[in-house]
Amino acid sequence: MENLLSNASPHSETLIEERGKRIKLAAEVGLARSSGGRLWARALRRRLHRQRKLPQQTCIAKNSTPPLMKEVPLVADVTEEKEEVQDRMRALQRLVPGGEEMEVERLFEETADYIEALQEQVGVMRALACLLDGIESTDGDKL
Amino acid sequence: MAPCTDPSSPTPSDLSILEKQKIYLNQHQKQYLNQSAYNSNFSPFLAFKPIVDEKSSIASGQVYDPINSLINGWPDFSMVSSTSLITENIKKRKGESNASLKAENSSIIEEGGDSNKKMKHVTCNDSHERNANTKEGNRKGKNKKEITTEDSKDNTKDSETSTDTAKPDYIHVRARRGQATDSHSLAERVRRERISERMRYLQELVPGCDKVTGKAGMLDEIINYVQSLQRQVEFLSMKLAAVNPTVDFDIDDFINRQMIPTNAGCLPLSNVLNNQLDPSFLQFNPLQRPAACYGLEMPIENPNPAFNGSMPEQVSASDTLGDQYLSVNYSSSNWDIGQQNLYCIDPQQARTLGFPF
Repeated sequence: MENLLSNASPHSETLIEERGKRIKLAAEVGLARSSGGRLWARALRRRLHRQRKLPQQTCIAKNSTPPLMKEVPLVADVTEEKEEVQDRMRALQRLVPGGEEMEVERLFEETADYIEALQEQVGVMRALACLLDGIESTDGDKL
Repeated sequence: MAPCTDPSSPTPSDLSILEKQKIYLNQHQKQYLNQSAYNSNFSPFLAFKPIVDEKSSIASGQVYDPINSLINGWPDFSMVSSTSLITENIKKRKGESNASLKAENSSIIEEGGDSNKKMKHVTCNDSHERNANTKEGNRKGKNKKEITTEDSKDNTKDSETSTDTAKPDYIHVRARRGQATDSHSLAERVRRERISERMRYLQELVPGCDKVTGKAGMLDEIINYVQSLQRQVEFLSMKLAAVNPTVDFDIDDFINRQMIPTNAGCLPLSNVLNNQLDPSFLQFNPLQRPAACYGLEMPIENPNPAFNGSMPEQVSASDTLGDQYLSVNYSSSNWDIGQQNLYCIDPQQARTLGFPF
């Protein structure tokens, strides 16, 4: 892939980026549709829908909702630890689509499902890339 | 998912499995007494995984109800000294879970997750005794209230919960010796147990998480893993764009028509989750078969999480289209993440487009 990109002219590089973005979008739509019952899938679909309707608004406000409530540390010693945990929780919230509105339990659940869905998607895309690679090289041989 | 029409009388297979569970749990009773909540809830979570291991096989044969498997042992816990007990029974949940387990694995997690949310513990309504005491009455109200708030948050499977529960729902919670037994701490404990269950499941999902200890460290690993997966998706999409200049997807078209994009390349389809490509695919010469449909028809709108069950039908449909077809291997898990819109099915177009390369 690096060879392709380096040999490509700047014009086609942008094209590749654009195409890549479209492919990514398609992949995300597929991802969102694959498990319609999940919160993250619905949130992802909403975000993609918004992106589609208003493509210039690329910055989707994912942090507009208040962070989920965490236990207030009662002991001074525990504060730092809990702070760390809370920081990471917030980071996870940002990662998982729709995570801002979830509480801890739900967040973990959705994260697990999201991870599985992402794993599947990566597998599919990787296989597809391999397939395309193989076919292209095969065609090159024939031609 | 077929609604369970008579949840009050489990099928014979359920009963035998319940009995098996009972026996199993009875054997482990003493462990339960000494172990923390963490451990006692550990086995149910194993059943979430598609891989069936020893513990989960017992539960998964039934419908996976994580708490149910514990509850089956509860009535025999009379030897436990602490006796605060709140029984909650959600028949409909069990009935639904019964139906859903027969569906695909992908729905199990959802169902299990929902079960977790809906109740603290689930009892088998008819086959087990309930040790009710007077304190129950006070706690019942509180727990019901909690359950209803959880219900309101749960918007995934609400429609399924409507079936029949003439009896009031109970939550079954066992307080351990020396622990506070008021409803607040009980609820808190149950909540913590649930959270640690989920944490454990995440640990199993994320590779390398077992070596890290501590909540913050594990969360770190999880976050890194999710980020890396997302980056991989991005990288792969760029790669796909670069490798094949004709591969493109008009997502608007796709979404508007609820079909596979017609200007997308018709691609041979193979569900190769682990990159196990059939080498015959690579020798597939498109010029020899211009008339064949190269793609595989996929239902795009398939929000049903149990729709993987319909995959085999599609396989047969594709098989009829040509014998040199890519053998589509459908795994039981939700594999179709990106595939639905990555593959084009349009026989007429295949005729004209040929192979995109």
